[in-house]
Amino acid sequence: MPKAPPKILILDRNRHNLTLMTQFLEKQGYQTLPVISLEEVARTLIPSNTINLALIDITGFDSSVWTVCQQLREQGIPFLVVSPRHHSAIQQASIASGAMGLLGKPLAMREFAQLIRDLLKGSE
Amino acid sequence: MQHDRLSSGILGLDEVLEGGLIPQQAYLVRGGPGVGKTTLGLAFLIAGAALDEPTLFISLGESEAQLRSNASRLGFDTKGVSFLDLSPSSSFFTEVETYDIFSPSEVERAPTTERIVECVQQIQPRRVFIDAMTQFRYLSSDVFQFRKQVLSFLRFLLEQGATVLFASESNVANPDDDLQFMSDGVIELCQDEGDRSVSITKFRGSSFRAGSHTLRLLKTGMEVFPRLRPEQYEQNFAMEVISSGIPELDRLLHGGIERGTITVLTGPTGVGKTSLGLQFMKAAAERGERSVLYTFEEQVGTLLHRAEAISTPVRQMIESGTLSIVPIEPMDLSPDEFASRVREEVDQHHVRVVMIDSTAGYQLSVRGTALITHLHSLCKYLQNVGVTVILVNETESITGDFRVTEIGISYLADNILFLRYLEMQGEMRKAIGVLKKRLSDFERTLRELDITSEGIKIGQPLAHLRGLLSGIPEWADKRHLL
Repeated sequence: MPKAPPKILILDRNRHNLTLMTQFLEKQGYQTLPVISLEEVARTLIPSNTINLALIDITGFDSSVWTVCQQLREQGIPFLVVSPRHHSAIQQASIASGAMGLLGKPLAMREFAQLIRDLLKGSE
Repeated sequence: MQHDRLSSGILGLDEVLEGGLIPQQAYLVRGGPGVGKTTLGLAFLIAGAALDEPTLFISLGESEAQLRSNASRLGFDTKGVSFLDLSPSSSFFTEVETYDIFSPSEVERAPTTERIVECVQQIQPRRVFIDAMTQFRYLSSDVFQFRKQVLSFLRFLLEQGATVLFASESNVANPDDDLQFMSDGVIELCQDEGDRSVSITKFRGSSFRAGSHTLRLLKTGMEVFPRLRPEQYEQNFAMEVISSGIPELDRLLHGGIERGTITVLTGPTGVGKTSLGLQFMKAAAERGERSVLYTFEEQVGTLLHRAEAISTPVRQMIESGTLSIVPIEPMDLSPDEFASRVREEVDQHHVRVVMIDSTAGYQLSVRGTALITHLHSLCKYLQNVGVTVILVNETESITGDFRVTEIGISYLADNILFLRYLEMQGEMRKAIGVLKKRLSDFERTLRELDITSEGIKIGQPLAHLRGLLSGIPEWADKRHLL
């Protein structure tokens, strides 16, 4: 039986970004779970929902976004933080909350696809 | 138009391109804002549409509606032109939120490319204008990608059988040197304090007329006036001496002036230069030849009145078609435009004598730049087609130390006739002399010149005076009395 493709949770407050990212990842053959608010993230984090990776665009959120990150860590979901610029405070906060890495916008499509592929190798 | 060339849509530009554009090449149209890049592109497409060729305007800046309405204001009929409007719509602005997760170059390149490919394959254009290619820079992640994309895009269009014109928006911060390298030809439009010009800096597979050529943006589009290149018009003509119509003056000149030579009439204000020039035209009219007088300073009315007053029948000459007086407003025409008018007149009406009154007025119209070069090429052209040229040159000094001209045109002249004021026995008199004559000998003495109601009178040689050139002559021999 072929395994279901990995599922990726996408959090982005910007609807255009969310749509673009969803399209992009689906084109790469992943399942996506696009959400636009922190409350929605909390709702999707139920045990029956297997999430292989999460992408958290912190743009537009306040520090409560780090609480959500903590929750992801607690549930063992690897996640990447996306931020408009590299700021050492953001970097520290991301690492402190357990992020696998911090990506700066805009993302280069080719490199980004490669990164996701590498990260998800284990879960396939 | 050569059969293997494509009209650019602008006659003068085709001439500069020595026949037009070579088909299936890509040409860069560059220049700052407002120089007429889009107008040139439209003219190019409309020339194709007039031949029922499919044409395509790919716009990345202005919307189709804007372009069509601007074109119709210029009198261009864009019915036969297809537009691919890739300009951002107003909704782009009203949507507050835009994406930033990926760069626009990655997100928008693919759909843009798809639209272009689809449109080109559907229309199969013979002529394409892209306004402006530099916009694609923002759809490329780096310089290398941009270069690759432009090259492949141009190749794609050329392979479809199109001839391509593409505009660039360049400035110091964003140079377009890369595009210049990638194109087969570069048409550069320039604007400098209201003077517009066009020059070709590159043209693969063809020679072209170098230098900058005057360009005019008119209500009805664009016009280019190619700079005169005299050697192109070389014609054979018999060396022939033409009479001035005054026997004494002919004797001074040892027969008259040769056809196809340049004569400078120089002297201070009011001494009779224009009258003397008209005298040559009167003589030409009597031979049935046509003359044209370009007057930069004097109103036609006063000129006619003045000439009639000294019994030069100018009105009659004009009526019989042997004279045309053309007033030129200084600052109105560029040297290229003036030259092209002269050329048109000479070509169409078989003109044999041309007088430019005066070089100072001409200089005003040239606005100080390269006077000698422009005047030189105009005179050489006229000379080559056998036209006798008379240049009227005003010197500022009335008497005193002698200077031929103040603007350094004497080298141009085959003949120099100078007119002088003389003070003789407390009376102001005029004299005429020859300073230079390339093709024959001439009298070394001056003669007295008198402009009367019966015409120009020239006296016997003033052989017994010395110091004539200083303006205050003395008797060489005190025994003589004038």
